[in-house]
Amino acid sequence: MFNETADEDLMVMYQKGEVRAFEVLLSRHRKPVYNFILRFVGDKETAEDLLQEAFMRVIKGAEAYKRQAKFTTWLYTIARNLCVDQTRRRKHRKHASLDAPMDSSDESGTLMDVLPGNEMASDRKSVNKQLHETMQRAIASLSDEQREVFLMREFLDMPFKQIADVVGVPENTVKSRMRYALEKLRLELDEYKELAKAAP
Amino acid sequence: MPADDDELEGDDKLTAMRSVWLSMRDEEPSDKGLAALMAAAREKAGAMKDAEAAPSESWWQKVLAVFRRPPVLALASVAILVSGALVIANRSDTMAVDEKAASRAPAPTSAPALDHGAGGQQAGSAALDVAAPGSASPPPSSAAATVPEATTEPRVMSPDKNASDAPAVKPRPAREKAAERRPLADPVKKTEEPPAPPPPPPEPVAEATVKTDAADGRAPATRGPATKPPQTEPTAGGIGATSSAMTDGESMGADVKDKDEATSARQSRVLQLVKQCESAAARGDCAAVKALAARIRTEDASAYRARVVKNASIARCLE
Repeated sequence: MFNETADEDLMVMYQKGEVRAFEVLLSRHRKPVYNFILRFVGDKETAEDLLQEAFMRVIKGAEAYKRQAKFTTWLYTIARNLCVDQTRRRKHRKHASLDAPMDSSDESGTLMDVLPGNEMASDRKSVNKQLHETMQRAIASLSDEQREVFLMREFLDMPFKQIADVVGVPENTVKSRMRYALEKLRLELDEYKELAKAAP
Repeated sequence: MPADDDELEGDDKLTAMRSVWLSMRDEEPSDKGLAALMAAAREKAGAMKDAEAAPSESWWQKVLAVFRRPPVLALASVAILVSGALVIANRSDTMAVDEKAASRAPAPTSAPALDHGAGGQQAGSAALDVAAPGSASPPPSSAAATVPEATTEPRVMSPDKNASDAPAVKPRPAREKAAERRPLADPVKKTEEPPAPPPPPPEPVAEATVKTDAADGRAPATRGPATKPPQTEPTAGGIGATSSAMTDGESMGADVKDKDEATSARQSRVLQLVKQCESAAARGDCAAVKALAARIRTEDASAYRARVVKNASIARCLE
C-alpha cells in the first residue's frame, strides 16, 4: 500500500500517527543513508550509531516537518550534520595508526594490509579489491566539504541544487567543490588507471 | 547521473574512475538498534495522534499567539507611538486654527448667556456687548471669567446690571464713524491718558484698527492693556518709527482700507446679532429679542427693517 507513496506523503501520514508509514521510510532510506555515513566517516560502528541517531532525529522532528520540504533533503541534512560533528570530534583525537584495525571486528585488516603493493594483482577479484580500497582511501583523503559533495553526487545521484540545500551553500560552490574533488581523485588514482581499465 | 551534470562529464579518465566507485558495493546496516528505533517511532506516533485529536486552538487564541510574538509587539508599539504623535500634531494644529479663528471672529454671544439672574444679567450683558474691533475693555465683573483668554477680540462690559436691556454699544456708530474719519492716537498712550486729550498727529495705518476707541465715551479705566488684541499693541518706538516713515498717500490708502474693514466687520456683527435674535425669538426669549433688536437697529437700521421687523416670531416679541 505504502510502497508507491512519496516520502513526503509518508511523512505526513506518520505525523497523523501511522507507524507503518515510518517503517516504509526506514526501509527505503536506511541502507543509502548508512552507506553515505559509512563512506563519510569510514567506520562501520560509528556509521551505525550515526544512522540510529539520524532516524531518531527524524522521529523527534516529525511533528515540525512541513509537506513542502523534500524528505531526502531533510534526512541527508541530518545525516550530514552528524557526520560533520563526528569528524570534528575525531580531529581532536590522535590519527589512526596504520597498524590499528580498520574496524572493531577481528576479521578486518589494517590500513597497511590495503595499501597497494608493488606487484600487480594476479586475478580480477584482487584487482577489484585493491581498486576499491584505493578508492576508499582516495575518498577519505578529500576534505570534508569535497567528500560530502562527492558522495551525494556520485553515490546518491543528487542534483547539485539539492546538495546545495543539504550543505547550505550556493549551488556554484557545490559545483566548485565537486570539480576540486574530482581533480584530487584523478591525481590520487592516476597510477591505478590501468587497474581501473581492467576492472569490470 | 543526474541530468544537471555540467562540464565534469565527458572525461574518459573520469568515466573510468566512476566505473570503479560505482562498482563498489553498498553495505547493509546491521539490525542493531532497529527495535529501539521502531519503539521510539511508535511512541511518537501515538503522541502525534493524540495531539491531532485534541481540539485545535480557536481563532482568538491564534490571534493572541500571533500578537505575543516580539516582532508584532514591536510593530504595534511603533504604530501606537506614531499614531499618538499624529493625533497630538493634529490637535495642536486644530487648536492653533481655532485660536486664529477666535481672534479674528467677533466674540460669540451665546443665547443662554441671556438668561436673567443676578449674576446672569452681568454675564448676559457681557456676552451681548460685542466690541468693535480694536475696542478694549477689561470686564470688571465675574463675567470676565467666561471669556476665553484665547479670544483676543476684546469685549466691552457695561458695569450697569441692566446693560442687557440698555445696550452699552449705543455710542458705537459715532465711535466707528470717528475711527473712519480720522487716524487715532496710539492705543498704548490711550490707555494711560485721560479721554480728554486731543488726538496726536496722524499715525500709521497699522494702528487704525485699534484706535476706534478714541471716540468711545467709556472711561479709560475700564480698559486694560491685557485685553487688547496682541496685534494692536505695538511698542511705542515701533509705532513712532513706522509713523514717521509713512507718507500722506499711504495714510489715505490705509484709511480707505480701514473703512472697508470696519464696514465688513459691522455687517458680520449685525448678521450674527440677527441670527441670535432669531434663535432667541424661536425660543420665546422676548427679553433677549428686544435687547438684540435694539442693538441691530442701532448698528444697521436697514438690516433691522429687512430682517427683524419682517420676521414674524421676532415681531411677536417686539409687540
